[in-house]
Amino acid sequence: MRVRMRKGIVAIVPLFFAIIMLFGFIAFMGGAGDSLHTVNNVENLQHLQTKLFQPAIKYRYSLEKEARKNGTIITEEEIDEKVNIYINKMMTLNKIQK
Amino acid sequence: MNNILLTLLLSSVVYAATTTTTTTFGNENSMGMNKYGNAIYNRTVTIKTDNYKVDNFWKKFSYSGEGQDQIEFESIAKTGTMQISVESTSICSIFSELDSQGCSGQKPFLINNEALIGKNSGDTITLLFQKNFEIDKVTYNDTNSSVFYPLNIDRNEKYYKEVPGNTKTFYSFFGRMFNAFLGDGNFFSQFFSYKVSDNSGKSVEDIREKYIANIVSGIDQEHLVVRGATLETDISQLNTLPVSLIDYSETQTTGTNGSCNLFFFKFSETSSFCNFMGGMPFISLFSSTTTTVEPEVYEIDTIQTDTENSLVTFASSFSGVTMEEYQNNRVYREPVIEASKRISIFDTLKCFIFRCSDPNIDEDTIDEPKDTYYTFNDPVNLTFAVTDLGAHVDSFQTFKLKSIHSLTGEARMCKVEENNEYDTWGTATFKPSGTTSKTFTNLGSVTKEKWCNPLMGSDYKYEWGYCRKSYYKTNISEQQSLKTPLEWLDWCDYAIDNNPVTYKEVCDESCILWFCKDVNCRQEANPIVVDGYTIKEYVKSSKRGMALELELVNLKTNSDAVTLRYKLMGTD
Repeated sequence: MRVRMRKGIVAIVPLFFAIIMLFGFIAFMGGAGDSLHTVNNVENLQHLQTKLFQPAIKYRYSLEKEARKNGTIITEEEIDEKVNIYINKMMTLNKIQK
Repeated sequence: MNNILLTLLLSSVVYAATTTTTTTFGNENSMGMNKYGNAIYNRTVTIKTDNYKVDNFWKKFSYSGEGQDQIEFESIAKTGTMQISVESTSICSIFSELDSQGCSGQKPFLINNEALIGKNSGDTITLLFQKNFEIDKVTYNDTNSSVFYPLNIDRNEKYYKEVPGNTKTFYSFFGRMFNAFLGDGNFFSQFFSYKVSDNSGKSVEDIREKYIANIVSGIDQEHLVVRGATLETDISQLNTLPVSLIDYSETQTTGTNGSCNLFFFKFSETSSFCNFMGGMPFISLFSSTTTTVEPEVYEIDTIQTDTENSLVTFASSFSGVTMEEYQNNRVYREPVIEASKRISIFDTLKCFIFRCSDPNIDEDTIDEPKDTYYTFNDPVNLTFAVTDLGAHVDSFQTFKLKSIHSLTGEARMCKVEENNEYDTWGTATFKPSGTTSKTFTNLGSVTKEKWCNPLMGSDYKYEWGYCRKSYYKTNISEQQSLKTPLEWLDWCDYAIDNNPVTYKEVCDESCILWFCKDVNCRQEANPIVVDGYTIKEYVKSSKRGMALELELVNLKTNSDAVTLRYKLMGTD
């Protein structure tokens, strides 16, 4: 019985190590230069921007098509404005802006 | 204290730069055509995000508490080049129930590059549906600039085969479209019930369904024809895959009095067989040759019928035109006789459908071809394959289908013998080009009058009940009229239509000693005798041609009824 107890206590040691390392990691992340996560975030943003090329151009053409269908005229400024609103919404949905 | 905090908070909200994203587009640059014949355009897109903020979540856990809560970037932008391909998927861009994978702008038609020489976007060309009537099959001529050829192109079965219980299949869609346009709920199902076969006698129902699907919805995305694709134009290899000329033979129907059951339109006029010369669509190459010996034979070129039916139905549905509107607004045009004013298409048409080079064809029997056409206000776009030598599909050209021309030509001849005692012309052969009129005696109104001859002096009419000697004099002057050859031809049509051919059995006799028996018995038609005239020979042959008036177009991103597809070409 005692033997078993002693072994059990010993088993906690690696667990302590693991917890200490985790704290170490968190401390590292907190203190590490902002570059690390900034790079990731900027890359993510650029990735999202790339992903939005197609929806943007598709939306642009659908606006023109809609106008033709209704027999109305849509100016470049109106298109730009609507596309911007649309893409801004996408950015909001992706938590890039509020 | 609270107020100060609130003011600070509000001012930080008001004055803090918000994150905004702006999108700008470059100009659209035409990049020609892709390998499927779709127009392609390149356009740059720039997405710029200003005042982008990155929250630093981990900062809270740093040893020293150093590090920023948030990093703000003034501007982060990305520019990419998008390629936009423009495909004229007209019907699928209207009927959303169709699977876009089963549609494309490519149609199963081929033209020679000669047809496009010197033509630019906006120009119009007229092309005849090609059929070599001499041997009744499609033959390919790599320099003919005025024709288009039908193609057999493989197709994914699920986009044209009937799938039981599925109302959204292409097959049932086509059925609904045809039946709705033609106002006959059974037209489409009847369409395939006729026995149509290829040259080796094999059933071509599948090939026909596929061909119609390729015309109406375009070739499916899995089987798009690619520039450079091998093209089979060898007539011994027709209907072979993946891309070849298509051919199936005509249906032949024999009947005694001319059956119009094969046709959607059944004409009420009585003078000639089904009055197909009204120039109605949906009745294709149609030939009826009747002599007093052979039973009537009708031949229908089903490829041309299918092509015309499909194009008329599809283009009309696209434009929202009903069958009544289509018929009511069609323009009937007799050709101008003077050669100088003759519309060029007729020059080729006459020989084209009646093979002028054939020594067996008597040109005098041929009526001038007529043209009946409808022009669409809201035309569909069709992409045709273009070839140089017939070995490969070398490029593509997209057209607006401006009008569909139903061309009809007719050969007529009737040889009549007069067997009455009043006419004196014996036997005469009537042809449309003939100019000599012949007398026609209306026997039903011939009256005979009793006249007296009092031996001396002139005859006088029997009026007082007594003649020493009398005789009957036929008063025919009012019952006889002169009929022109065309009137005689109409009379023949009427006589043939209203007097079914009767047959008699004719046998040869084979005798051994004095025992004889009949051998080689056969049915021979009795000559048709009407009112004292015998029809010795009768030819009425109507041929149909079809021509399309096509305007060359460069598809643009703002064209009607197109599908735009997008592809990211690269980023900066």
